[in-house]
Amino acid sequence: MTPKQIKNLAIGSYTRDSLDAKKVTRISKLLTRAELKRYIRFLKNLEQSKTVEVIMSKLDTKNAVAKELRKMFSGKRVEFSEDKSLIAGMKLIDNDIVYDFNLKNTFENLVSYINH
Amino acid sequence: MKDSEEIIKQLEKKLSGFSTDGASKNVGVVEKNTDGVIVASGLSKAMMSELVIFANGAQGVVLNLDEDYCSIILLDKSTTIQEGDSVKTSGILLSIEVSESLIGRVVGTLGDPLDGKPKIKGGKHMPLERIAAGVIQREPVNTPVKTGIKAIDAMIPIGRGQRELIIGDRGIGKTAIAIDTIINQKQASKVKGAKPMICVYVAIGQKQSTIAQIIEKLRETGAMDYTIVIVASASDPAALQYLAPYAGVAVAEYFMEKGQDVLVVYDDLTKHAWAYRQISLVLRRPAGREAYPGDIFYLHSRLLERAVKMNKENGGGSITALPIIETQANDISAYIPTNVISITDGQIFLQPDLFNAGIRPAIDAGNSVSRVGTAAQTAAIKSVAGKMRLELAQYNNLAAFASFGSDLDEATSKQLERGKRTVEILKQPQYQPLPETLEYLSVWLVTSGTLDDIAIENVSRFEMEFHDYMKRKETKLLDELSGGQKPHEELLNKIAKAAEAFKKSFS
Repeated sequence: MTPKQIKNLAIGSYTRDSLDAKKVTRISKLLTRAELKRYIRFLKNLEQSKTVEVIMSKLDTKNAVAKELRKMFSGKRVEFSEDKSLIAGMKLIDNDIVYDFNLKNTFENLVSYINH
Repeated sequence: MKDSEEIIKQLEKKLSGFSTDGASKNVGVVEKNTDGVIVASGLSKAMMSELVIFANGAQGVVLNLDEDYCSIILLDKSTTIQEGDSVKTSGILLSIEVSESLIGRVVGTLGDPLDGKPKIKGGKHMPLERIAAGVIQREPVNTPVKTGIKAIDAMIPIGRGQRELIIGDRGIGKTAIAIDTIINQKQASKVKGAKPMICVYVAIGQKQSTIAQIIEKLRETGAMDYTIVIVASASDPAALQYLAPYAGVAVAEYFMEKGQDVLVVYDDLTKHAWAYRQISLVLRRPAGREAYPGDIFYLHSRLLERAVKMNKENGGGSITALPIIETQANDISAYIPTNVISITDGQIFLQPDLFNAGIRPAIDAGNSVSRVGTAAQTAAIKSVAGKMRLELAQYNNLAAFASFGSDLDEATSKQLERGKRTVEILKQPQYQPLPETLEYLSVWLVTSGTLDDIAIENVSRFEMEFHDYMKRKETKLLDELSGGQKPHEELLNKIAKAAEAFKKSFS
């Protein structure tokens, strides 16, 4: 099976934007070990592209920013988590794009800017 | 108190350009690492030839963009990159930092110093890949590049902005011609009105000991004062060997944009093609003839197209390229040699037979050609070179015929004798380039028939002593010749008289 066919299988494993367990079980039984590995990788990538990860310095999922983010990424699943090392602000991971709006990143940039 | 104020001011000045805005970056994950070629997923916004940075600080360049993956070549020997490591785009295309302080330095492909001196900072970032100047910005080749080698300056002249290939088997003096040309730029710049040339020597896939010898020779002769050496030795990764000539031309473009004339030597493009073949095979690109990828022609054409003579409205600078190609068993019809021959504006073909017969430089005048250089040749040399080339061609034809040992008529014998002396006069020791005036005198000696009654074994000594004699006793005559104009009748008579006077004292 070609990688493109496996990719199509991974895309087809979704029913109404969520992973269909029945389809996945049926497909996985028909694949070889190497194909299954590739299938899992495609599923992971698809899951990643449907999820937006929001890391906040202080977790508050009910504030205005969180509401606004949910509105902004309405077609995606928004997951919140806390990381105090960010000091202030947040980090947003949308598939392979990372947005840094936090003090930790600003300080790191400042240090590398001065060093450069 | 004043000091602390100054420190704060300096810090404020430093920070004035710093942006506190949130930044976005495109990240990916390493999926595979094979022989310095990395396959990474993510990086959906990556550009072709974009610099990417790995978690351990190693750098790479994007060479393949697939639907789900991109292939990256590593720019250093980093072996610690593993599956699952993160990689991020930098948003900048591969470039080299160039400034005037690069002159006299020995650097790596990305501008990192290799001579123990500090890193060059504050220069202009010149992109390694750039579209060559268009036809509107160019002008025809019209100014000579003096190599200081009689055979080349007389028969295969090179002009500023030209691409002249040096081709031949290994160990028969290809690099020597390029090095002599670089060394000669020192005396060429002393001529009134001549613009000095900046030289860039790009060593690709060579032994470090050979490179060290070349650098030492350039230092010894004072040529490093106007030369930049870019090194991607045999022990460097194939990626750096592949990028080295582009770094060389990027450096040359910096000086060319300032209106200066630059000479770039690519030593050699055969090894460059090997490095690119290696990368392409690891990248799983379809292999073609001799396992080279389909774009091997474009690899060299896009590099050599960047050799240019700009018109006055665009600064008037130029880049002259001297690519070197190493042949196997003298086969110039192999894949890479034919490609580069068709791209360049002529070739200097070196023959192992001539080299072994003691004719050095071993230039095969019959197969060597300069397609645009004659337009740049000075009138003085042109006035004697045409005759010499014709006599040499006739000699080569007759020599094969005469080898049967049959009786020859007087005219044929004369032509053969003249030919032998022409071959003798074109011999020249390595690292001893001649100024144009002396080159003219040498060629004049043979074409005027002055050497006809000199024994062949004495021709070289006669030439050398005649040069010394002229430098000592006829400096005014040499000054008159240095203008490059075609010598008038009166001047020719004076040269003939001087030659006669010297001949009497020659024993």
